[in-house]
Amino acid sequence: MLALLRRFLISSWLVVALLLLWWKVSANSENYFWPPLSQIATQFKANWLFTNVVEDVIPSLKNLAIGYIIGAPCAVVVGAHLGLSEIAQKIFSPLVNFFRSIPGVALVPIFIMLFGIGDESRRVSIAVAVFFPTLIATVEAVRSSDAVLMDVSRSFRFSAFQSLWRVRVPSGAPMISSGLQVSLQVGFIVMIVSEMLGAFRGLGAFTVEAQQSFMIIDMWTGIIVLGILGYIFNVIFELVEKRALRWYRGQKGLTS
Amino acid sequence: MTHPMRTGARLELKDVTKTYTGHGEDKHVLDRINCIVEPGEFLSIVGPSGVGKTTLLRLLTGLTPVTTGEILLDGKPVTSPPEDLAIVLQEYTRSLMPWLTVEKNIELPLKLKKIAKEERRERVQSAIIEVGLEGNDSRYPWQLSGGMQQRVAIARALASRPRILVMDEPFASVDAQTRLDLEDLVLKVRDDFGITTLLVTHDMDEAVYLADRVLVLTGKPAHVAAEIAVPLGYPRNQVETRAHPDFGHLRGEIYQLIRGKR
Amino acid sequence: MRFANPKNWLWLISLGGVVLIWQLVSVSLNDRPFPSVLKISNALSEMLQTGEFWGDLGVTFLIAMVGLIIGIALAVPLGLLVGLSEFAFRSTKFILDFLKVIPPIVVLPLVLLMFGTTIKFSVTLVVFGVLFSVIVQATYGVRDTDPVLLDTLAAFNASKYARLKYAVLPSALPFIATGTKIATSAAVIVSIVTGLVGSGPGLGHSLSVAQTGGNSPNVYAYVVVLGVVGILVNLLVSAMDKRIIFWRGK
Ligand SMILES: Nc1ncnc2c1ncn2[C@@H]1O[C@H](COP(=O)(O)OP(=O)(O)OP(=O)(O)O)[C@@H](O)[C@H]1O
Ligand SMILES: [Mg+2]
Repeated sequence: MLALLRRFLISSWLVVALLLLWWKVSANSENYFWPPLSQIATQFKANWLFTNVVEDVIPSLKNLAIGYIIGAPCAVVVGAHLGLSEIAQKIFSPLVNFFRSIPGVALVPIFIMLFGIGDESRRVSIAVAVFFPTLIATVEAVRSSDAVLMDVSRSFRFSAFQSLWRVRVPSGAPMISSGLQVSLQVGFIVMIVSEMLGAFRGLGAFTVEAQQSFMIIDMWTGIIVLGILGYIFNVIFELVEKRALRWYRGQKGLTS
Repeated sequence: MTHPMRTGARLELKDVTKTYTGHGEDKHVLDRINCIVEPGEFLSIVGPSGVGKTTLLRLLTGLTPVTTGEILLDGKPVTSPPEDLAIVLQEYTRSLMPWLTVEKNIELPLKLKKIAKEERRERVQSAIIEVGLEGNDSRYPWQLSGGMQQRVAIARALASRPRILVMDEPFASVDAQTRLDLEDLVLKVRDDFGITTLLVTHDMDEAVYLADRVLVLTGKPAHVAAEIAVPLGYPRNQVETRAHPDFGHLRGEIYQLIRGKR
Repeated sequence: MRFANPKNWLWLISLGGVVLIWQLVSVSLNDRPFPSVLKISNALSEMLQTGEFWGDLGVTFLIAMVGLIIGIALAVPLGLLVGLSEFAFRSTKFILDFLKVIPPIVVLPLVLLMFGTTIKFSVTLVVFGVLFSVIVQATYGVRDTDPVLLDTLAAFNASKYARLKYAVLPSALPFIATGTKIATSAAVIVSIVTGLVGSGPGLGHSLSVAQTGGNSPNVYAYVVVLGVVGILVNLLVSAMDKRIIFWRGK
């Protein structure tokens, strides 16, 4: 109990100290870019608890969710099949390599051109940007399946489809999962960029609009919300992963 | 516990030759291997390291194609892993699915064969009891010792009700005591089910202790140096059988074959 | 030999397929900004003949490299310091984990406001994108030091400096190299984003100008260029990777 408290104190004192320092130092700040933290806090409460949530947060998250839920599973399915076939890899890998090398954010202007600046273009941008990191990870995961497990699948006469989804994909899950995590981060960035480049609503649009109209405090609150969301997504992802891949951690913990 | 008595399968190797091609030069590993394994028989295959034991096992399980010659299981040519055959591999840590519990590992092949749920459960339970893993159903393979993992692999093989069980150095990486236990387990399984059993090993004692007959492979490319019958009778006993004068005799004979011919 | 093997030419199928499909779509969508392959390649070849383009490309790389170097120069000593002390490591863990996952785009508006659309703005953002992941890698590297090696050195009465040199640094270096690898790709992308979103100098800005000006062949041409840039960076990174793996003797 006491040890737990100690650990908590050690891991959090610096955060508290820095926040206090920020609060104190900025209290009478005249600096244009660094307004008093107290003012930011007040404005944060006014903006985000919970006035603008429906207007700016929910649409952003909805676009991210839709783009991710379309892009990532597609990438797993396509990647799994691509990973199986040497010939398909020979045919597609230069192409895939080219497309995955285009930064996801660079796709945003194309889709804005094609679909206008509505949610449609944002969702498509996110879905496409999210697709490639997961695809690459899945192909790699399926390709590097353990030879012994493959012998086992064959000896029990699993069909190609069964051994793909019952053996290769689950055994590659840790690698696929890191692809999914990178995809989520990329999706988050593309979500913000797509809003900054032309949107009336959404967190990115809010923050950039505040910046352009020199509402520094509003801008600060936008940055803070985005930062917290980015962090929370990662935490949630890792929690889910920890639970889903408990076997992997257990296995590694025992062998290493 | 009642097990339906099954009869073992008959395996026949006719002039089986294997040459690995590709990766530069060709490698002639097995040269005209001939052998017949009768239903219910226990055959050990021994030979020095690198002689081609694993290769032979992969050929007769249909995991690797033969170069020339023929392998017949109950008269039918083997081209891919046959229905009635089950395999236990040496690498127990890698041959089980680490994301599935013991129970689910054993169940998976049955599930993919679309066997009804009730029957599946019954088969899994009786296999778990057969190998002595009661109470470990919902643990993961990596939570078990090496010997227990190998028991799971054996249970998984048994649950598919094979008529021939093929094992490649299944006990090579477990400790000595566990090894003896697992040897006796394999003998019990053969006894309970009457299945044909093939065991690859480089341990001459193990080969003799378990088998009706020992096939000795030597040379490069490998050929059958001798087929040695083991007239020790069953049941066997780790202490008495190994102390039997015939045991030492057979062991010496095999040693001579392997060492002398190098 | 390699070129004689028809299998090595299979990718031409997919290239041909993409060109064909692209062409069909562009014909059927002639009311949308979806120019034909020919138009795009014309735009690309014209673009490659302008000095402006090469200037943009150079600036984009310059920003990425300067930001990368500054970022690593700051991150490595910090990471080593933090990693050496259990207390420092645990105290900063939350903050570093937090900052590591915050993409630079989040703080872009603030930095833009402070520096305007200058190179300073872009470089600062690249530094932000590089800094935390390299710090975290370096701390992990230090903490991964083989305890047996440390004990051995202690048994020889080795000085603190010797322990650092022979045990801690060799352990941290591969981690730092991995961090640098990740940071290199990140730096180039951030450099492009600063242009695209913040109108900082470089390719990103030209892409954004082409899009707002409705010059669709140029938009695609720039995206093709960015793809090629990405491939080059990936090649660079995998070359670094080979060195790292060589170094670790794997
Ligand atoms: N896929 C392959 N391609 C080429 N050569 C192979 C292949 N598999 C095995 N060999 C070669 O065939 C020979 C026999 O190998 P095999 O694994 O069958 O021997 P083994 O008797 O099982 O040895 P051990 O006792 O070490 O397990 C070896 O020289 C090996 O290098
Ligand atoms: Mg072998």
